[in-house]
Amino acid sequence: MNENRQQKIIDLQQRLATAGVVFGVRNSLKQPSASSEIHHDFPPDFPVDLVQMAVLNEISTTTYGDISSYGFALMILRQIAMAQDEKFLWCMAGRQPLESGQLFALGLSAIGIDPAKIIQLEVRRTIDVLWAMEEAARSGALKAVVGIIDNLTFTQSRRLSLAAARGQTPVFMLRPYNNDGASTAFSRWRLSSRPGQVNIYNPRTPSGIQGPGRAAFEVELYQCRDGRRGKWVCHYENQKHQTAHRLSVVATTGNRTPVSHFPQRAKKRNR
Amino acid sequence: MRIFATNSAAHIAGIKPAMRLSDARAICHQLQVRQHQAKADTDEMSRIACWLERYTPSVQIHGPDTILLDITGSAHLFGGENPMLTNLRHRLVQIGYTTRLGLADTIGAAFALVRYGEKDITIIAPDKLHQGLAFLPVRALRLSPEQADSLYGLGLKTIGNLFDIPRASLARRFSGVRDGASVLKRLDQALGLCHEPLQPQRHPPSLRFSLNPAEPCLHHDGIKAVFDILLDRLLAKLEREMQGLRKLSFRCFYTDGGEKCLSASFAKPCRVKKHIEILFNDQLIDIDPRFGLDGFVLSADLTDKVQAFQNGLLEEGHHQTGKLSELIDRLVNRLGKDAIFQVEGYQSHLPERAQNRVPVLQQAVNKPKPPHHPRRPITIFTHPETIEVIAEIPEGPPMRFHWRRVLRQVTRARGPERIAPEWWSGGSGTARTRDYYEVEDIGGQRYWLFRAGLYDEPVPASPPHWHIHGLFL
Repeated sequence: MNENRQQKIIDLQQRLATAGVVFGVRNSLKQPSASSEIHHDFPPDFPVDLVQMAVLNEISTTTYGDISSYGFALMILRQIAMAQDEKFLWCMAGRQPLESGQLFALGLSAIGIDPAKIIQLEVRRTIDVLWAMEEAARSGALKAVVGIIDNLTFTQSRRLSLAAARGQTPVFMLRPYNNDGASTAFSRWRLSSRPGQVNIYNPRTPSGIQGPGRAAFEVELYQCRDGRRGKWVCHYENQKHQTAHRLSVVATTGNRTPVSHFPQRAKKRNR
Repeated sequence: MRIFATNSAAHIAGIKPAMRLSDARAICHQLQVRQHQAKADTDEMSRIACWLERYTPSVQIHGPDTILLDITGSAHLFGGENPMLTNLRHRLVQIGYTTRLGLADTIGAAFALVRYGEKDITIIAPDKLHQGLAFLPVRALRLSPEQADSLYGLGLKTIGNLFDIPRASLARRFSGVRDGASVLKRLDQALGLCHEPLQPQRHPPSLRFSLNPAEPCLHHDGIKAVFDILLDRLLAKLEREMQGLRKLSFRCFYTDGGEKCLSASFAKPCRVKKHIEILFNDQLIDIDPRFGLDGFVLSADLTDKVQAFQNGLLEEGHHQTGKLSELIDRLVNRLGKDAIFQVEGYQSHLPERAQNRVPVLQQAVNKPKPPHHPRRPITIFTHPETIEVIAEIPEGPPMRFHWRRVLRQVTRARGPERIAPEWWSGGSGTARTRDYYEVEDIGGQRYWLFRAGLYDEPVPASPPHWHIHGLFL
């Protein structure tokens, strides 16, 4: 009897394992990753393994016109596609390029992403973007696939999930602020910009406005298949010895108001 | 306008090449003139050269009107040198060309015989090279007109005259060292003292395969089978030539006289059958056979060199770049060439000119990298959008602004960064100096705004206006 039970457990475990392969979980967890480097760029309790898995992820924003989701996706991509010839696909459809603008080569290099790594796709219909994303994810030729998608049906998201698992490629959907409806995304993130820090070394404007420092944002993992949840307030860190304004996410130490005597001194110097 | 060539009737009338057309008309009133088409001439020459490969594999086109054949080892196939030349001349005359043939041990001697020999067919036996050439004029040695004239001026009228003169003193007759040396070299080449190899033309292989089935194809399976057969033949040939496909087209001809053309292009030279089939499968199914298709042509319209690559030890098949180029092909062939691109920086201070779209997977030429700007937005609007701005002082950043019907309160601002229009890029007079500001609103979103125009412009065209040009992270 005891042996029987043991056998059953092994059986079940195997079945779970195969199921895991279908959803792309188990296989992708085994993938070797430069996790030490990734930890370096994220807050300590951030689920780094989640964004590297070959699954469908959904990233939405809370307000219209907020591109913090772009920043978050690019930051993840920078970590995933570190090597020289590793490329990723960035898809836009319809009015998207007019709504939030096109990716800017100089801006990308400013945050440490080589523009040559990004293959961009710009088509009129969302349906073409979905087709291209599925094709790209299934081929496994890219390190990651990103698409900015207004609306999609449950079946479409299911296809994307399966393609991600088949091609062992992480897929990210950037959704608009009023994103709702069911999808088979493995993890769902919500991004929102937060007032950034000030750069006290910048001269104030005549009206007393200070210069922008590190940009801040809030990232919330509000749904995940494996039950994890979390909320982090982060900012883009200027690393030492690196080009300025480089992208890496570190938890804020608190929204301190700038120390008062610094700007005053700066003011005096200006006079 | 000058005369390029004449027929025999005109030649008899006294018209010579390089003569002015008006002079020629003065000599002969009934002269008929046709425009010279250099391109058609060279095409025709290469066709004839191709045809001449029936006599020998090494054929070279030499100049506008001469073809060289190296018949070493092939004359006996036609019954000897003399029968071969007669045969050759006979056939060319039948096609409709006047021909002069010369046969000698060296290219120089054969050339001289063709140009200045007495008869239409002249053969110099191997041991009689000197005698055969002796009575030909010096200009037969492929000299420049000046060199021939100066030799003529020295009284050296025939090639035979040059044999007895010491080489050093002959070279000294010419003002330039080069001239002397080149005359001697031409002489040596004609006499076989100096090696002159013949460079046979390599014709591009024909990458066009056609098939006419006995019965018209009425079903997709048949079309697919024909496509398979043709593709196999093409790929075998490409493999031998070390070439890969860049553009492939498959044309089907209907029995009732229609035509259907399918085509695909490739991001990288490709020879992978499976991939090509994937690109064509959808298109093949779309063919409507109607009353049947009875002709098929598969042609490689554009090819490129591709190196043979070695498969890995594991059964990974072809590696990552192969998979990527195949993916790009599928996307390009379905969504269009312009839909997929990469951006690269360009050396310009104007943000809208600072990046270019380039096709994916093109070998990057070493272009100068644009200067590194640490403060540039992540996205940019191709057409900057107009915004309404309330600024505290005219020359400062805005305090609040309206963009897309939403009022945004500015809490942080940085700037200005002044970018002047590029006067050298043929700019219209409308371009204005811009002051860029990076601002953040209460919600934490960051914008790249600019004010076009200055308040203290010497000739103010219109008051400065504000735009939004990009978004920061």
